[in-house]
Amino acid sequence: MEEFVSDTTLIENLLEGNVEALGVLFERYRHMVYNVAYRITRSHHDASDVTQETFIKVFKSISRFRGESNVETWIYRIAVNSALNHLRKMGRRKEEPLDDVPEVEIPPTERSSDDPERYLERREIRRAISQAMRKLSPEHRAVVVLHDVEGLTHAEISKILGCSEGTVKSRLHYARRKLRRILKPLLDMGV
Amino acid sequence: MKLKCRTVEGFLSEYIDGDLSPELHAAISAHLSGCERCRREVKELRRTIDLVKEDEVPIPPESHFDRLWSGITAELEEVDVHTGLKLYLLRGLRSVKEALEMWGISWKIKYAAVTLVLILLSLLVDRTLFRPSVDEILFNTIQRSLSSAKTPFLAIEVPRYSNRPITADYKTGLIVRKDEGRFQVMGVMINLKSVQIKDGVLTLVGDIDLSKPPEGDDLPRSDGIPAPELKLKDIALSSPSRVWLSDSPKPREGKLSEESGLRSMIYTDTDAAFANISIGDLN
Repeated sequence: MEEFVSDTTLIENLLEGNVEALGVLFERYRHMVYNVAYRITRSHHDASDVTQETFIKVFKSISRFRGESNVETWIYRIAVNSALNHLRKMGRRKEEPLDDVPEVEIPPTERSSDDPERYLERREIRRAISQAMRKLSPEHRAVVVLHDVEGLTHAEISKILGCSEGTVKSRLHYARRKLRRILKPLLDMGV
Repeated sequence: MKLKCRTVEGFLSEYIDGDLSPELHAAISAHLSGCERCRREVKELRRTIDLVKEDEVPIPPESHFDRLWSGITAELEEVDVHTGLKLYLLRGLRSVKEALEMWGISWKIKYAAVTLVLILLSLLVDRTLFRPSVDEILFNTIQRSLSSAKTPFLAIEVPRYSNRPITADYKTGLIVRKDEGRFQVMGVMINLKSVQIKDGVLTLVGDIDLSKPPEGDDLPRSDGIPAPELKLKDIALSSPSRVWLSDSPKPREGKLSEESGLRSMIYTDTDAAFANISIGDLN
């Protein structure tokens, strides 16, 4: 069994220029980074780009890591901001087809071969949620993702995004109401 | 506190999160108990949040992450040298920081000391390491001029009243005496090692071979006595003494070249290397 190396030790190794330490961090946090990047960008390709950008930034800016937050939070913060910057850089694009992830694994909850109807229904719901999320601006979407999905507090989000808590609350309020309006047909069906 | 629907709508998001003051929370609860429309909105908002939470991310296969990692390492190879140097310097600075902290020296003093050291180093590098001396400039100029000339000639002209007029030809190795417009061969300079001008004295250091005959009918042959090394020094030069390089023994006028300003005046003509160096300016 391989010996567990703490994040702090990995950061120290990284400061020594050891790229292998970055490899361990990548193994440890790649899913976390990809997940949040996907939720914000809503695109498999963008999330992949953001995942790469995030770990390259981790390596390049390792000397700026002060240890005020833990390594996971620091990487998470880089990932969120990389995703937002990525979207800003790309500009607001046309909606991409939902099936831009041809090689992805279907989440376990959707692998319901026993009940094809239920499977199709869940797929439609997922498609509707995804479309609704895409209709939010990246900033509003990021707040919804960070608060409602990732469970971060307003204070934590304001720190990550570099805005006031009031702005976070206001964006959350606006985004939720907009999502509700978009998903109204679904909600009326009793989903 | 009685609230209108419009006011309540503005607080519903925070109401759901439990972020309101107890008083406001109670007032909204009271409103909701009597307002079907707002109650429905709360319910739909809660369900919307649940749906967003249920939205799962399609997870790519591990092979995809392997490809991402390959891309990262390829990118890092390009930044590795720069970052490696940065990290190396950083480690050095951290060591300095630890040492200074051990000695109880504050960060402000440390930064000031580091800045001072960097300034001194930059001055040292600029002034000492990369700036050629006047001798080097002169020597390089002479070498460059001689190497491009067909029949190169290094001549030193001294005032008429001097009793030691000596002319040296570096490439063909002629050392001649200029005597009333004629050049008298004194020997052959095989290798010019250095050119120095100090306190008005031009010193040429090189190997002299008096056995080699000069070229040209007007130049008498040497007597053939070998002199392995000879320092041509203590040649009394005073303003307006001049040294010139030419493809002929006779100095010519030329255009001011870009090399002027190096405490010397260098001229070159169009068809051959030709330099006229004012010793007075060099002193």
